[in-house]
Amino acid sequence: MLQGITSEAFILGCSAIGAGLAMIAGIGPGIGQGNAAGQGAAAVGRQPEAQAEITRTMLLGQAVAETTGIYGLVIAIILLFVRPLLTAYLELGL
Amino acid sequence: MNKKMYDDDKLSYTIIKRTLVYALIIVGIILVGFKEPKPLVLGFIFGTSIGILGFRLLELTIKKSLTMTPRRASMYSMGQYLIRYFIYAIVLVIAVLADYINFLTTVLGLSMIKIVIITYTVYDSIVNIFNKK
Repeated sequence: MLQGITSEAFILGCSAIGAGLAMIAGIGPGIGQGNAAGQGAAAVGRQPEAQAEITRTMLLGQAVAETTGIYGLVIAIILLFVRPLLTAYLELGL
Repeated sequence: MNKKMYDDDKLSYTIIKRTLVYALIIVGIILVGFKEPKPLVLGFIFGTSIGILGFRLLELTIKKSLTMTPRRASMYSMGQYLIRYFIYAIVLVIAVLADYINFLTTVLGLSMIKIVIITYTVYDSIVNIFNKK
């Protein structure tokens, strides 16, 4: 182990890195929603009479896609605040 | 055009109404099935209400973004997504830190809109299959 770093601190640091990696999952839906909105606006410009159908499809699709980002957020918050890895290490009693 | 706009509003209101019905059923199950239901119910109500408000915010964002140019719509939609994401983060952090709110039921509440949309779509496709026969 690295000098001057306790095992608990190392686990907490790794948990923070894991939380940061989990937050990457939040970027995807943002890019996807932006892309969908841009294409939707272009589609309404080409075919204004289809606005209601485009809105409906975008609403359902984006609401479902957004939940994927929430999953990543949940994992990150669990790693940061609940600290399951540190608890598991302490229970091992090494 | 007015009829179409009415149909749009009807869709979001239908989803919100169904979410509330599902939420009431789940609250009933929690009240009957658990010994200490108060934190579970509070977490679920907290998550569901924020989920519904987020869905409404999404609807307003989409309606506004369709009136913009594609590039502006893309940037606007991404910005609004980040704001909603930040709101969800605050809700989840509060649910983790507060003892009187259960975290897992808050997550379930936030996912209720997705559950309703998926069951709604599956139900509609099953009904369509039977109607064709």
